[in-house]
Amino acid sequence: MSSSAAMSGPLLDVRGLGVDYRGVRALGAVSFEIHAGETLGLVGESGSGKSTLARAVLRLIRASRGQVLWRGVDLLRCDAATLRRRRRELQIIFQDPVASLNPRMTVAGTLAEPLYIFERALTAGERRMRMTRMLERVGLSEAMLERYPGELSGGQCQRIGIARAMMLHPQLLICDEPVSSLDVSIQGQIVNLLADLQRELGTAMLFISHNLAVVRHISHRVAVIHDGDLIETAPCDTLFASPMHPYTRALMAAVPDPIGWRQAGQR
Amino acid sequence: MTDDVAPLPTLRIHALEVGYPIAGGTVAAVRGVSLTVGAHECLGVVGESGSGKTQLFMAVMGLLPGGAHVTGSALFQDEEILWLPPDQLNRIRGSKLAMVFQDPMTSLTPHLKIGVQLAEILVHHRGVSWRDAESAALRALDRVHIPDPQRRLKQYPHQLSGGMRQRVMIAMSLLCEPALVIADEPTSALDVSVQARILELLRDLRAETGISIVLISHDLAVVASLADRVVVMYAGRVVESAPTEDLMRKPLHPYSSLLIQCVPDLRRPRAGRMPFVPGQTPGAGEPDRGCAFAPRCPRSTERCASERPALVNVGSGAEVACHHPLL
Amino acid sequence: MTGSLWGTATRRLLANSGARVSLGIIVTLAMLAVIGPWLNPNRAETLDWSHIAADPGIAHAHWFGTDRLGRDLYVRTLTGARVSMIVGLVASAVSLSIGLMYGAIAGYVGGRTDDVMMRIVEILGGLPLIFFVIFLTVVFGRNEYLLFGSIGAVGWLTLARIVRGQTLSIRRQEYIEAAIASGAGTARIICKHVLPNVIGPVIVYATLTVPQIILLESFLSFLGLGIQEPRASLGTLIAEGAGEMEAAPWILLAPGVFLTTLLVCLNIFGDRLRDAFDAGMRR
Repeated sequence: MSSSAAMSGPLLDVRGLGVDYRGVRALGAVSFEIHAGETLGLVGESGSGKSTLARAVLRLIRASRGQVLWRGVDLLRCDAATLRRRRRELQIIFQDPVASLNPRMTVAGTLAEPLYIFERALTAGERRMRMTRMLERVGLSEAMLERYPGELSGGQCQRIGIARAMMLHPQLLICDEPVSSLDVSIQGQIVNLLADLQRELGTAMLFISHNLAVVRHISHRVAVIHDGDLIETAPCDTLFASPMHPYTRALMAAVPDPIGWRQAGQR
Repeated sequence: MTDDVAPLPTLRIHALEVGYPIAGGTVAAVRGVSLTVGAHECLGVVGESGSGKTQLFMAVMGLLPGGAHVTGSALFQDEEILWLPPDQLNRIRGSKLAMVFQDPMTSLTPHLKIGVQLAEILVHHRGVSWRDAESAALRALDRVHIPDPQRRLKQYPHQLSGGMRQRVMIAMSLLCEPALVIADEPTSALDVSVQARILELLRDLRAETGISIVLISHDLAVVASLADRVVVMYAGRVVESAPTEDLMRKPLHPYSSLLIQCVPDLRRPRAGRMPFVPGQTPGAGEPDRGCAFAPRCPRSTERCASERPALVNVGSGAEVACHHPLL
Repeated sequence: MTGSLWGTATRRLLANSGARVSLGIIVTLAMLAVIGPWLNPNRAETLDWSHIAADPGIAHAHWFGTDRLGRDLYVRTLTGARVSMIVGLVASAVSLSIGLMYGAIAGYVGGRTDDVMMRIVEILGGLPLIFFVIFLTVVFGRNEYLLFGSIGAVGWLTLARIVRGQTLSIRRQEYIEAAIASGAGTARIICKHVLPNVIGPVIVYATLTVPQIILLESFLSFLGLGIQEPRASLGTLIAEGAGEMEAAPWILLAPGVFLTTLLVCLNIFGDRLRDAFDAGMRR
């Protein structure tokens, strides 16, 4: 675990973050904290503002109000140079694994980019070693380096996205619906991989999904977002054992439960 | 398999194969599948991406690209449809045999209003006047529980949410009172909460009209919640087929058993890993020797690597293709 | 599908007969222009007084005949072709480089920068080229560099627009977002992520500008505004030939056929190249 775990105070402290887009309130005024090494699950439907939140935190889109305090520094108001320096500490993986990789770049090129940006002093040999090690850590072989994203499956592309994001051992990884476009049968591979990486490297995570069942496996705490506002936040077990908000309960009821539904349908 | 006083099965597929010729050979997407959809039955077809489940039914609907090589037979209401000339096929497609696709955004024409797209089907297939077609379209939207249907008729696809677009697609498929609706991953692009409502809609419609449904998905939970029988596909072949209750309670094929473990259960204690099926589906070009699932199978032996298991009827409506089924 | 766009496109291209034939002809013409003159004992500027406006023939080693001044047309045509092709290639390369960077920057950076950059393109595009060139010729005198300059001033405009359009269509892609999130600066994103992904369709248009530029040069030279005596380009030769059309038609024939064939083949090849790239880009 990172030494900042001994520090009091959260790693990420979001206060009143809001985004208005063309007169529509995509995100109201959201506040939450993430501490070192923990995973905050964020659950909401399409249009709830969860992806907007992820991008606003990273200043990939412009926020309309609020603060994003990363280890004390407000990312929304710092200058571009500071922001870019901080980027190595906060990373993101995306919902569509294939679209998040440059189709004209080999895997090696994609993985090398963070190293070129932040660790220019490395020799080619050192770079290759770092990339190979990261590939192995995400369950892929060195042979992947020369391939192009178009030749790979969704699961493999997502692993590469994770490898890219983790190359510099960020302290926070934002996962924007990372398994929603993968087959149910392999979603677990990616979720478990993320949990393993967290254990090994102490990375905190913001895990966003529309599926409560997935979030449950990896989160320490869970927040529920609806129509641009956080309506409930609780430790994982508490939320699932006794959800308070009716919307949370509705989300839970929607998780596929084939046996239960069939019995209900046979009324 | 069929009962004695059964009405005619709606769809009977026999030994269907789909291949694509490439430089140096053929790539097989479907390697000989036979299955039956009974009248008023909902058949679930479950399989990962690359299992051939979509290609199979695209072949039945005649929607494969020109380069595809199809053999076998598909009898729809006892009529062979694989080799029908286009004009005859078009009379069946969209009216008696309908398909609902995964991504409603690309299946609906973006620059035409919803009302027009719906009415057009009736005018084309049933020859009714535009005015009658429009009122039928209104009723169709109502039937799939779209609120404020009058307003929606005049809207464009991009103005509707994903769930609502999918309801429109379902409404479209029902317009001509089909005998069979093939729903290919109808909920995969939707949120879990919307998915639940769409499945409920399909269930209600089935109860009302008695149509047969083929429900295709990579998600066994989705399939099992609606289907009477389930067919499990892997690498272009059927590996297990059984009534849903039997499959869920006592799967025979190790792959089915792993898929069942992946069905979420909020009541299960969450400690530990999220279940999954290890490895990944074989690529299309890989050699076809022995059991395709063997590399990922916890029960595989040497025999599995060299000898392909045949699909065997094991009684009470179940079939399995495995050398070491879970008995 | 292999990831390499070039690999897929090249394969498809070479498989197409139209592409192969037109490419073959282009290469042949290019080789002729380079090596051809050496095969003939005559020089481009040598005046052969004994064979003025002679018919083409083998006996006197004037294979395409001679012009009014007794200069061998075979050698002149091919050296003229050299000039036209070099102008075409160089001007295209310059247009492509400028157009690529300009369009990518305008498209990616967007906002006010994009507005200003596009206004400039529109204004320059609105200038009537011929009057512009004539005006400059009057002011600075006839000058080959002026020719290059004017062609260059025009050639990059369309390419810049096309590149900008392509850039706009990929700007919102997730891999661009991923690059920003990784800390990449604007320069890196444009060079490593935008350009490689827009260059496909752009190369095709660039290929189609080569014949346009050759034609433009020929036209300007034909009007007397470009390449000057005693140097020749296909344009000047055609101008000469047009004047002699009735008496000595072969003077027009050689450069005319050469230019036409070159342009047609370049256009066909460019079209096939576009088809190959389109197919390569479709999944």
